[in-house]
Amino acid sequence: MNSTAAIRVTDLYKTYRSVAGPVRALEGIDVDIRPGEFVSLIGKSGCGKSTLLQIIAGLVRPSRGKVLLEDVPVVKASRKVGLVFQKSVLLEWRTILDNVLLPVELFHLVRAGYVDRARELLGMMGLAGFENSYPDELSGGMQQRAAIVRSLLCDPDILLMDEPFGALDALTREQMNVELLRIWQASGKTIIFVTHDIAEAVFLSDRVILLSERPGRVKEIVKIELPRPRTIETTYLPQFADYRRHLREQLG
Amino acid sequence: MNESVAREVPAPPSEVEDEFIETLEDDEQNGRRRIALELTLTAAVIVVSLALWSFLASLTSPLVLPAPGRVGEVIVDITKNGSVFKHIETTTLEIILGFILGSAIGLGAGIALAWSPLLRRLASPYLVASQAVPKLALAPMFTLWLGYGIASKVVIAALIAFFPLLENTVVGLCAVESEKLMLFKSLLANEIQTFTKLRLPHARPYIFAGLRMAMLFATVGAIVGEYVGSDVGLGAMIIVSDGTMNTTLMFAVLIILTALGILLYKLVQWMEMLFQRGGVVARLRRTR
Repeated sequence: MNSTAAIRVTDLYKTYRSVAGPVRALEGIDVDIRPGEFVSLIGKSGCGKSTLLQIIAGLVRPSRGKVLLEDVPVVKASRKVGLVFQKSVLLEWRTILDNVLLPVELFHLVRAGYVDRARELLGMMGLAGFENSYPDELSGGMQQRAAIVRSLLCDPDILLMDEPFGALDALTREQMNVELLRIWQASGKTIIFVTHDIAEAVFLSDRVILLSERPGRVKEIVKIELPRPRTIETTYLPQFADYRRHLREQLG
Repeated sequence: MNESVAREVPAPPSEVEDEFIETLEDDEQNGRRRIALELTLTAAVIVVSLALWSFLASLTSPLVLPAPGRVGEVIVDITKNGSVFKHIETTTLEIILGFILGSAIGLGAGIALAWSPLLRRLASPYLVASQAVPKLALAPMFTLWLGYGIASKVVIAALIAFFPLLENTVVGLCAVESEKLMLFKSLLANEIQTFTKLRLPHARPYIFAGLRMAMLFATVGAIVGEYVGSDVGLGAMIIVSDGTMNTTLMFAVLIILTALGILLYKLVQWMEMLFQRGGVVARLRRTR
């Protein structure tokens, strides 16, 4: 174990209380993630991958075990962590620019200091000229890009993404994956990416963590040794197909 | 899919383009035609209603149904000699004050109840009881307590105006999607930020729907209050015209009252437009 892990999850358990009795969502999760690493969590729906992400984000308390972010125990949400959800979760009464600047307001920072950066990031994500549009005037892909800009604005070290492209069509998704890698490589952020799409996980990740069905346990960690930078061409490599097949078989 | 990247698209054959432009023009023409049709229909409905009214009036005594022309004349008369204005003023004042008082209570109580589930559970039986009482039946009691002045009317108006706003406020503040609440939690928002930046803007359309209802209810409350005991106000005029068998005057007052009701309702709608996204308030906030 190396002491400079960006995220360290040790012996994590989560049991939910429900009407039908306790539901064991996670059982004995141990994971170490290096700074700057891109890790995907995959598993069938209901395997607890979103729960794990929410525990790391400090939004849900574990029943047992702990999470360290840069050696600091997680007790609540942190500015060091940016979150992207499956839905874009934009506020429909705010313009795109005001939506993207929401973290600045909530963190009591000075808005003027972030407007230029917001515009720059929006431009990078192909949203230049949409600053004063409202969310419902944008396509689903563009809304999700705005959500990503919002998560990046205050420069978190860690980005947690919960099936962020799950609601997008296949082509948009492919393009978003390429863009995400570009941003990741330029920024050096640590990313945990939850998905149930095997190809997406292989394409993006340094490592893919496979969770078993409920209760979620780490079934296997697969290191993806495909060359970077990765492009659409990468997906045609025979090794890519091998990883996909292996993960598909393991997923059962 | 990258909306910002211009792609080179071969120019379509000119015929297709022409056809496209024609379709657009057709749409515009259709729109104009539709508006003309709507205006014609509206005018037709008014003309037909007035004709029907005239016809029915010709069959009966003016004590039962006065002719529309006579009612119009009375409206002109009481406007010209100015006798109606103090009544309009009093009733308008009662409605507005009742609306403001009722809205303040409805909004305040709604926010308090949305804030505290405990308060909601404690207060809800009493709130339901307060609505189950036929409130207009309480009007004589308020007149007894508060006298024949405008106070009793204001209280009655406020009493029936506050409830729809209260309900709408609670629903609007509590019906925020869980994803948005989680976003705010992840961004370390405190209670006040979550309220002002999430719950309140989310509740805005609900609150304005409640305010529109409150204005209509306040109008009913003020008039009923005047029925019970008052010598000034449009409701009092209706009672007097009834007592003197002046049906024509009664109709004239009813029409004025309807116009007043519509105007006040529009006032709330206009207020809502100020607060709409892209409205004046939003623009002021952005330039700040």
